[in-house]
This record gives sequence, structure tokens and C-alpha cells, in this order.
Amino acid sequence: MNEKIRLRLTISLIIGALILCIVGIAGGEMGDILQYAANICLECIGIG
Amino acid sequence: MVKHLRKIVQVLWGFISNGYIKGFLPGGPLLYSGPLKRFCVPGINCHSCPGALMSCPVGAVQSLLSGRDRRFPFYVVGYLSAIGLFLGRFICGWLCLFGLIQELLYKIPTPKVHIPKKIDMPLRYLKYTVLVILVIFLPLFYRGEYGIGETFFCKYLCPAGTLEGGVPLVVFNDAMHASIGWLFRWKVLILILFILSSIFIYRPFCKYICPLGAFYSLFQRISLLRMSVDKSTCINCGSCSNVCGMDVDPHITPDNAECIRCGECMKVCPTRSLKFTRTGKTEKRINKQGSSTCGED
Repeated sequence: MNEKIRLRLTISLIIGALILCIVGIAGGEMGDILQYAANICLECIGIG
Repeated sequence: MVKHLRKIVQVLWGFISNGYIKGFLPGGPLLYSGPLKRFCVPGINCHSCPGALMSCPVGAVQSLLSGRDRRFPFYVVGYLSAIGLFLGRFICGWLCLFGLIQELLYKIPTPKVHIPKKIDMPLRYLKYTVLVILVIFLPLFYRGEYGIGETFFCKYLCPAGTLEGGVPLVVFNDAMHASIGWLFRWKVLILILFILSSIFIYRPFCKYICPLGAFYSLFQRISLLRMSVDKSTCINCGSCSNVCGMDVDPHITPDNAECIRCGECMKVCPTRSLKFTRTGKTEKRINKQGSSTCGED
């Protein structure tokens, strides 16, 4: 793959990824993660 | 110190991401539940570890997909994609605690097992299957009796969760100890299997099972951080291939999806032909004969 095209593709995808992050944060996703991760996940440790 | 830079970084990151000392003290809170838990670590690190300061991205993805309202994990997917696009699988080699544990186990002086390529290659695709089925498909579509799904990878497979979360909590907490059943025994069995296999095989979990490594490897060929070979100086001695624990031939495929960017190949290269570079950076080198050559990009 041409280097310039590859670099443009990578930068475009990084911008896309950052937009996804912003959408998630704006949608309150981090609060949901906190709610999930602040408690012991009994399933994760095999006691579910 | 530079010789062991990667180990130092791995150990330091392990302590930083699991630095909640109170969680390990008797009578203290079982888990940290402060604001840092909103963020995910870039590697596999069970948030149920008493010391964990941040969340595990694989667990977070499953919890969001398996919830009653099935939320798409925008933030986690964006965050992991951005890391993959910047660094490829660099995180696997430098910032994964479970990877470090496997590496240390591999240092135990025993005869090492080299899995034949016929078996090894198909097994490498297992991690993509784990990512699609256990991390995405089943949490998204399976629903239990209350309309809530399950975190299948964490519940039935993840040995990191058992080691970092399950074992310490069961050992130090009587109530937890009293409630262990078949599932915990199953997970301990898997953990023992990986511990034992790590003594003989280099990073078996990373090679064959890790869904996070599978996700990062999707970006390996287009990530900003790359590995390049200077073909004008490479003497094809094979030193890099011999030292590579992930069984990659760095001088042939420096951007192989299995490369964890540990940099061990660069250390042993007698002509310093291998090095980290970035996408878009085309090097021109004038060799001793005066002809110009480009780096393998």
C-alpha cells in the first residue's frame, strides 16, 4: 500500500475512533462502566 | 537499565494500574470504586482485582452489550481502536500485566515446547473466534431469565480475572470463600492450565486466546508505530527469528499481526537493521556503496 494513502487512512481512522470516544462519553457510557466496575463482578471471578 | 527497560515498564505499569493498596489490607474496602474506574486500562486487567484502579476494557464491552438495553460500547471501542491505530500490539508487549506474568513463568528453566506450524497457525485464529463469539456475539444476543445477558468471556474463560480478582478475594474473604462452586473450580482449572503451559510455551494466552490482542492485531498493518527492516544492511542471519517468542520472522514480515512490538529482535540484530518507525516515514539511507535504499514500510 502506498505510504501516503496508508498514513491518510490511519489518521482518518484515528479521527473516527476519537469521535466514537466523544460520542460514548457524551452518552454517559463512562458512568455505566463505573457502575459496573465499582462492584465485584462475581461472574468474572467465577462465583456467579 | 535500558537492557531491562521493557520489564521495568511492565512491572511499573502493573503496580500503577493495581495501586489501590487499601484493597489488600484486612478490613479495608474490597474494591476501589472511585472516579478512575470510569477509564479502561489498555491491557487485560480484571477490575475485580482488589488493587485495580481502572476497568478492564474486555469486561466493559461485555457488560455494555449484555445489559438490558444493549448499549454499543462507543467509548471503549473508540479508545481501543485509537490505541491500536497508534501503537498496534505494542500494549501487549509493554503494558499487559498478564503478559508479564506469562513471560516470567516462561523464564523457569525447563525444556521449551515448540508447537509445529501446522497446529500453531490454525490455533492463532482461535483468539479472533473468542473475540467474536464470547466477547461480542453471546453477550449481545443471549438473554437470561431477567432479560440480562452474561459476560461470557469473563465468566467462563478469562484466567486473568481468576488470578487477579478471584483468587485474592477468595483467599482473603471468608464470605467469598464460602460461596465458591463449580464455576470457580472450572476457572481455577483454566488458570492452572495456562500457568503450566506458560512455563513451556511463550505467552500461550496471548498467542491463542486473548481477544484484546486479536483486536489490536487488526490495526497492526496500519498503525502509526511500525517496525521496519533496512534491507540494505540485513544479512538474513535469522537472529531476530530465533529470539522471537511469538514465532514471527521480523526480517520478512516486520508488521506481522502476531508481533507484540517487544523489540527483542532489535536487541539481537547484529547490523541494527530492525527498528521502530512510523507510518509515512520513508527513510533513505546511503549505504557504503553509495546506492540509496528505502526502509521496509
